[in-house]
Amino acid sequence: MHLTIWNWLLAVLPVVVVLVLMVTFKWGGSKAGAAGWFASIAVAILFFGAGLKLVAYAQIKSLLLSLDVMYIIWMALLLFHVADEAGAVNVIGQSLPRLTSDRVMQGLLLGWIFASFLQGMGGFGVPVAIVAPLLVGLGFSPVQSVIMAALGHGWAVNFGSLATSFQSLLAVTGLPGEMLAPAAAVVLGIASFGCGMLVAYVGAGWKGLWHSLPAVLLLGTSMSIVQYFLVTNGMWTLGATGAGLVGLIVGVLITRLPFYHGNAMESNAKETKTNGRPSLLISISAYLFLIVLTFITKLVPAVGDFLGQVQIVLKFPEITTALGWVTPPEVGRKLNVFGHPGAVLLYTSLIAYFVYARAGYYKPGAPARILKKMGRSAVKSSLGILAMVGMALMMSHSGMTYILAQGLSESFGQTLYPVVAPFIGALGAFITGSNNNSNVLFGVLQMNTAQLLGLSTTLILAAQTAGGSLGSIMAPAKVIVGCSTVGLNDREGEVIGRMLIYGVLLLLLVSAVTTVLVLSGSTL
Amino acid sequence: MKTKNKLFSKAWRQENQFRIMVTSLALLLIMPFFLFQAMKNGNSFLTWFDLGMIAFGMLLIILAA
Repeated sequence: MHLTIWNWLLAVLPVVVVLVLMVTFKWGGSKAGAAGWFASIAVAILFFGAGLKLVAYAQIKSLLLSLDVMYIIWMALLLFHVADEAGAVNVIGQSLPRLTSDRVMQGLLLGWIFASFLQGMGGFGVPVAIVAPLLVGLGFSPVQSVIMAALGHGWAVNFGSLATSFQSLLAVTGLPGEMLAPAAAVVLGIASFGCGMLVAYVGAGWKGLWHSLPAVLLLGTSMSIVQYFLVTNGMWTLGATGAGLVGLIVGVLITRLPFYHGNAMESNAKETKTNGRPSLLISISAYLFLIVLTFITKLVPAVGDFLGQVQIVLKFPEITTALGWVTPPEVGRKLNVFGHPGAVLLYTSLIAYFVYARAGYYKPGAPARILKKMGRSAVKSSLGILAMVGMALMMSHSGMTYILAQGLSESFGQTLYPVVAPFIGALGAFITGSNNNSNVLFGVLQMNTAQLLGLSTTLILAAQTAGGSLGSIMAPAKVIVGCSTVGLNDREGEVIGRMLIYGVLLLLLVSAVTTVLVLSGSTL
Repeated sequence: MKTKNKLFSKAWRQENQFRIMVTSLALLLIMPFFLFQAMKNGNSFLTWFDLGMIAFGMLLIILAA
């Protein structure tokens, strides 16, 4: 297939349809994704030689890829609501500031560490919605609070939500997680320092930033190392959760240092339930169970083998378009029903529910409320994923994504493309509101462009997902939600304006790191 | 879905939004497996029918959301 301006414009049309509908007509992601799906099928059939067989198999493959992601989303939401209904999330958030009266540390503990932890185990807008009001309660202004909570968790989005966005990247590119995880962890680990420093700066200015530097270095190093260790050992679903949990522990220890302690009355973190309030240890137990279960399923071969006995596997033949674009025969995404990360989340949810129920943390009717809240959140995001992944698979199987990649590679060249790659990911996330959607829309495009330019695929994809991770925090949809939780309903523009400046700084950091690693010939 | 609103009107769609989304999700999750079977058996009619149901599921997203 030869690149021409005409077929490049046709190839980009479904993406343009999605973006225009979301930005100009304010359509939601799932609705715009469905429109993009129709556009991709029409363009593929009319202009790229796609036939019935291609359309059919692309849809079946996209379902398998979507199920791989949706399994985690549904169960992550279940776990979150099991904990939230028990009041555990609020207990964790309210316990932290009482450990220190040092304002900068309070801002870091909540706006950076706790927000990252929440992103790890929940995501879906939860970090800003929960942390921003807590920061307001500590005396930060509403604008500061939204920006701090948004910036603080930006680095954790990719491996957050139990690595849903990363899982989507694996799904659309077909690459193994073991190959992509190291580079993504390195780039995002470096970005975490930037996030921490910006949270300190927004909360307390240049003085606060200088005061916080030792703590930021300690916390950033510990979280980055833990995330790297987890994701490079196959536990990417725990990447941000584990890092956030270690960040909480290290943060609590740092508040013991005289330099960061202030004059706060200490709360006994080991207190048992008093006056009906949940204890911190029991509240955090759900996430401890998650970590233990994940370690067991990943590191104990007998357990992994036992759980891996039931798998959904479909084989697909070679698919060719009338223009000669070939998709080789392959086995579709395997679904390990009882050993999938989603299954581990389900087991954790059941154990956590039992523990919280025995501790008496639930009001009557809790199970129904939990399932209802889970369903309401999960259905809409599932539809968005099905539509977007369906569209992405149509585009890749008909050769449209390859044509786009050819155009980009000839425009930017080998030297400039690593600089641009994170901004492409950020643009996708900014417009769609989601790192997940950006990875689905642009993952294959970035991979093909990297291959055409002879650049490291893993580093360019790391740049894509890191850019998407940071870009998602600036998305108007997310900012609006954050502002609504602190009563800033008519000042979203002011928040977005400031977020864009800080966001671009973080993206420049990622861009620089990617470029240095690519040009140095790194084998990450 | 008993309602005073006219079928498929904007008000009806808003009132029944969650039901429409669940219907769409069910179609999009189930029909591809039937489609795979139809492709395997070389049944053109069922292939078109199943693809049509998937397209209908996508259309429901646009109607509901």
